[in-house]
Amino acid sequence: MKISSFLFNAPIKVFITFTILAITLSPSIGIAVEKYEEQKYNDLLDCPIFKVRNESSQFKASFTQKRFIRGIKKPLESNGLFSITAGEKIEWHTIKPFENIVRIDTNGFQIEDKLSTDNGSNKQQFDSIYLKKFSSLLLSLHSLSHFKTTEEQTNSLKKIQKELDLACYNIKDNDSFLLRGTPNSSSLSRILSDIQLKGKTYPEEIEIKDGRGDKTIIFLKEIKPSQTIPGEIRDSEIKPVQKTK
Amino acid sequence: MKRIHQLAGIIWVVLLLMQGIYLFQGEIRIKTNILDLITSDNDSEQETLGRGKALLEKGSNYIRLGIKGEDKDLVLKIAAIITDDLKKNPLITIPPSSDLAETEVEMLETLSLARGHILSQEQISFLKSKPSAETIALRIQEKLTSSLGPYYARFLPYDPLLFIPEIMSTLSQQEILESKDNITFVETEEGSFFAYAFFIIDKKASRLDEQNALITEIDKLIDGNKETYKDIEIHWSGFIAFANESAQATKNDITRVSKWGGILLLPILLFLFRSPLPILLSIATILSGLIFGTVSSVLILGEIHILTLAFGTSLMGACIDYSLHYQCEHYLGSKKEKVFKKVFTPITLGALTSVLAFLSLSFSEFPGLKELSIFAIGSIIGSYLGVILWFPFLLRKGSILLNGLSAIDTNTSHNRFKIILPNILLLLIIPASLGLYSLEIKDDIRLLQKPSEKLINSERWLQEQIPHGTPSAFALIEGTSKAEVEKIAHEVTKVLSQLIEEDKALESYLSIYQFISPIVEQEESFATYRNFLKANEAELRNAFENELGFEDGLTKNVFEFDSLSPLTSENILRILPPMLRDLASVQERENGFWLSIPLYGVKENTSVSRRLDSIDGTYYYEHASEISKLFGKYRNKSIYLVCFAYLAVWIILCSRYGFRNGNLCLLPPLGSAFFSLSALGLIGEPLNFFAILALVIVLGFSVDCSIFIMEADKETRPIFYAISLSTISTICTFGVLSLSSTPVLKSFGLIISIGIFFSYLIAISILTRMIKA
Repeated sequence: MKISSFLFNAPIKVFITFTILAITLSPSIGIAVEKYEEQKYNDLLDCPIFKVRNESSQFKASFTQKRFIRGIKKPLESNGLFSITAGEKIEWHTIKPFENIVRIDTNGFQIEDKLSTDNGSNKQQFDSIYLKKFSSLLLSLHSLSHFKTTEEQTNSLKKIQKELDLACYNIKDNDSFLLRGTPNSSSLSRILSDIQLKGKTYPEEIEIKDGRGDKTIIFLKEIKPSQTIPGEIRDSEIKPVQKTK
Repeated sequence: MKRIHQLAGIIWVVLLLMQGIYLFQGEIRIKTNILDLITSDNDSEQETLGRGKALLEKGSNYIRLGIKGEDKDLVLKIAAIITDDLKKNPLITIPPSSDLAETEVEMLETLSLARGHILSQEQISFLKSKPSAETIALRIQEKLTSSLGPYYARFLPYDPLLFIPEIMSTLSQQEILESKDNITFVETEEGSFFAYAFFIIDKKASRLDEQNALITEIDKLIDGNKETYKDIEIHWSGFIAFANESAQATKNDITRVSKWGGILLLPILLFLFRSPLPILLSIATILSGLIFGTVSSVLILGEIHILTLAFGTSLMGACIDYSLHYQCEHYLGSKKEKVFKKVFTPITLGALTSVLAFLSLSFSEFPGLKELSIFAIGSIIGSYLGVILWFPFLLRKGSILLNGLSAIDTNTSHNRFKIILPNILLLLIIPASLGLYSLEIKDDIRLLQKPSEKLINSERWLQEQIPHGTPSAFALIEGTSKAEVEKIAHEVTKVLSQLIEEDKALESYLSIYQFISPIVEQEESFATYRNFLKANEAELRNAFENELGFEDGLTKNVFEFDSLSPLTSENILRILPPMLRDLASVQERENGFWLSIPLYGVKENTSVSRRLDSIDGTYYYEHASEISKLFGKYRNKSIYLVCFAYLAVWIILCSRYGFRNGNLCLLPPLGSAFFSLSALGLIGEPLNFFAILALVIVLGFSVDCSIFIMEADKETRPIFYAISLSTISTICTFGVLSLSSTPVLKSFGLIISIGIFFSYLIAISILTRMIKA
């Protein structure tokens, strides 16, 4: 056992899952999480997220992220654009307050920081076994409601269920669904305690709680099929997201 | 005089019985560790190897288990089953382990107390550039809102300025999926799952029988699980497995030599003597020799190595010589009253020259040879005493006609030999010279042990699967004080990092000094950190509270630097599990302090060795090559030993037989050396240190032929039979030894068998002729 691994055993890259899990899931307007009446779907496949049928597997949306960190009074906000080709790749392009791009595919993650204190950029590639596995998990999660075929959806679901125990609820107040995932492996549960996806058809709000008690909520809006594949977001599409309740 | 002689015989019987009882009832420790044969703490030339021995002894108490498969749950299940079963064995313990989560918190707290002291050069430069409070706040916010935000957030309570996580993120980390109850569980490149665990073996398992029982139990457990779960790969390995296999192979050699030596010799003796008495007497002298040899070794050295026992078993072929000589003389030669007088001188001279030859081995720095020397000398003396003290009284009545061969006029048969053999020997000189020319020199640790394919494959598999399992080499650092060693360690880690990143000469290394800068550097870093915070306190507080929204506790934490202190090795070691702690810490020895840094995946031995050896107080240690170097040194020195042995024997022979005949007496041993080395070259066996030493033994045995011939009178039949039977008995035992799977025993067996054979031929064909002439 290497000392460096022992000194800090939880893989640093695993923390990406914490964010990316949230990032990869589809958009929604913010909903007050705690106050709703929910009814569990007995059959997971009855969950509306699995009922969506698409003609295209490419989608894009704008997002707002709020991160609540213990020790900091106010949430840290950021926003930008994301795009996806279901089952293949995702791009998460944060515009404000600091520009960076996260690209996820089956080979792992790439994070490109457009440093605010520097004119250059810093690209980091994370393609170890563990992160490849997580990138695959995240792609599967994100793509759940964006696949063209049931078969693709079922395969993705199987991959997700290897790492997360899923349960789906109907939220009666606003006729939306809540898909909740809890880790079923100790390695993931040290990082992530709970993930919730909410929406009407596509997930529009994602909430993630980590092992420390910190929370990240991501609101996605203007979800639409896109002719543009990830990596080709044009400047005209970059605009701040208006959060509505 | 006769009564004194009889009394001495009885006393010798009693002594032997006591020694026998001591051997069978006493707890004799039989060593199986190969390194005990090679290394000596008193030898200055072995200092490096001696340090390596200490390292290897630490690692020798561990065994490793590895389980690999596609099904994650099944792999974990099997790992748990095997671990639980192994734990039930009283000789196996689990190394103490720590809870990873708790240790992580401890580590964060430790680093937090040293924050400011462990800044990187980039961070120090950043602070020295006098960034504004807004820049500092922006930097923190950027990190927390980035994709790696949750990673940085973990460090916030410990280092609000988030310098520590930047340093930690540059270190490569092993991605352990799970680690619990001593089992570590990872996912492999191919997507399968691998679980591994370490276990400690109690030192009581160094006894052969206990070791064997333990190995058998582990093998049974592993094989049982392999049978049940066919899709899962399970392997285990450890020093104990190699030591046990080597010991078992040697035990087999001992059994084989005893069995086949007896099976081959007994019919010959029965055929010739037609009576069981000579055989019983021969067995008695063998036992006398072996018992006395073993007891001498145990009393002088305290313990005996199993390889010495294996060699000792072959000595029975030599111990029988004096018995055969006496009996041949008794049955074929002089009147019984004169037998003792006639054989006493040659047997005594023979024993003396053999003892001298073995005594020369004891001057070697090689501990194994000293042991062998004591054992052999004891065996020769024991069998000599058995013959001299017992045979005059036990071989009393009449004579037993030997087989029909006794009717042969050996003078006539000798004549035929005298004509044919020298010519054959002369003809053999040319091919023998070619053999000598093609002889290769090879000094290799594998001389001492040749593990089985199964063991090698398991070891190799575990090496490949377990991250940073067994180091391929070490950087050894020595100093007169701990501070000195730590100072050198910092320098060494820098060089090692360069070797990894720039030269790609090795894959990685393990040292806490990668993370700990020298105290002086840490103090400078902290001075920069503290001065910056003090100079900008008001602006920073404002930025933290208003821009970032830090809670009061967090802001307060930033400016509490009076309690901070440098990061020391003690801080880090306290947190490490005991298994890593011993490996990573500076050790105190008699003459100073030392530290070993394990190196993994060394690709270029020469460049790593050169770089490390150029740092004062540092040595590059690679086990196999150190031993090979040692063997090479011993091989060169052994030539002097051989010369010394020849000189000593020559002096005795010349004193006894005159200058000319004394020189002639050396013909058989010299010739045997020539032909036996040539034979090695012809069959493709390399020349090594042990082969050269075997020549000393050949000298001891072959000069007996010369002595017996020189001491013979006109009746040559007894001598002819005596030296023929001696040669046959020696070849029967050492010849069987040459079939050993242990290379060193094989070398010994080959050289001695071939050497004795040729010395016999030279003695009876050339020597007899030249002496008579």
